[in-house]
Amino acid sequence: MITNTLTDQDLISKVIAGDQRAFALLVDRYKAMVFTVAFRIVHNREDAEELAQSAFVKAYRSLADYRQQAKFSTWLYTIVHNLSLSFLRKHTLVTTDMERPSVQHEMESSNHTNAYSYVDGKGRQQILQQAMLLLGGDDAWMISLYYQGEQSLEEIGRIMGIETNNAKVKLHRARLRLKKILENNFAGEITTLINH
Amino acid sequence: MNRDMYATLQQLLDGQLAEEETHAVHQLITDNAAWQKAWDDMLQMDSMLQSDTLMMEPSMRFTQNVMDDIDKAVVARPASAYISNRFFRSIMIVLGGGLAALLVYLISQVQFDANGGSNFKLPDFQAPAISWSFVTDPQTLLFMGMLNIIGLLLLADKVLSQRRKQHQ
Repeated sequence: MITNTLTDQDLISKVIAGDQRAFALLVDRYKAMVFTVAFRIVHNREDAEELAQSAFVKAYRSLADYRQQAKFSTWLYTIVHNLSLSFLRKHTLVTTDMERPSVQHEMESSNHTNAYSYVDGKGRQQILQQAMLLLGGDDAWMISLYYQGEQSLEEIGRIMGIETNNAKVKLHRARLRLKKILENNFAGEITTLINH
Repeated sequence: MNRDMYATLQQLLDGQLAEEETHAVHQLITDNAAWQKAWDDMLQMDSMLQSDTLMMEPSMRFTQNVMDDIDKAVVARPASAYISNRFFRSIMIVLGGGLAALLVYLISQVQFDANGGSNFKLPDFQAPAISWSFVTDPQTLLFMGMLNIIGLLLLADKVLSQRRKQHQ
């Protein structure tokens, strides 16, 4: 029986030895983050799910090529990042900005009349979720990877194919932009919630 | 100034400042109200990002869907799993042995004279005479041209069928 206490490397060895069930554990371990990265890039649930699925299948097929120079998670996030960018290029989606119609649609399609009433009801997690939807470019998924995906700046740089210093600057700017969005869009609530 | 302050505080938060710089920035935070406020904001923001950023969950069947997909896939085995190191070693031994034998043979052919010089001469080699006129023969050219066209058509068919599969 395979337990969830095994390290990524143990599970990878099992998969390469032919034990497919071990890969299901890896999928369970990383599906949320892989899906989150894809969603933060393509801003659409169905597409993100398909991309996340493709990323796992691709990882499975090339597991033998994984050289352990980086963490398995970093390697996996690189795959989903590249797949999502290719998807965007093919579908030529416009980048997110404050006036992006799809973001407004996502906010409107939620079961609330406006962002403020939603925030009042659900708290700071929903504030952040909405603010992340308003972030553009690489900002949202970089923040997710840094704070939830346990990726260092060096690893984020590796995923994006840029220098660590460059990743540091990008993340810094992303946090500033998120702060600005929170201040501009959720001004009253954020003060209360931050000081809560 | 504001930008520099935020950048410096961010570095402090990420633990990227040297010990002396860390001390200096902490001093600034203590002495300067603007730095103090920016630092407090940043700490609160950071703590909120760490504890409240939601990870999104895919559908309930996600893992099952992935496993169904990979049921059809085959894991590529690493080259080292099916090519033995002994294979590479044998090739190296054969090539190395051949080279060593050639060197020994060549050295053994050298006849040193009493003055320390030598009258070594490489063995004569007569290249076989090949007539290349068939290359310019019209029939050969026609045949090669047709082969190229058939090859290109096969390649185009392969590329187009791959694209069709991707779009399905």
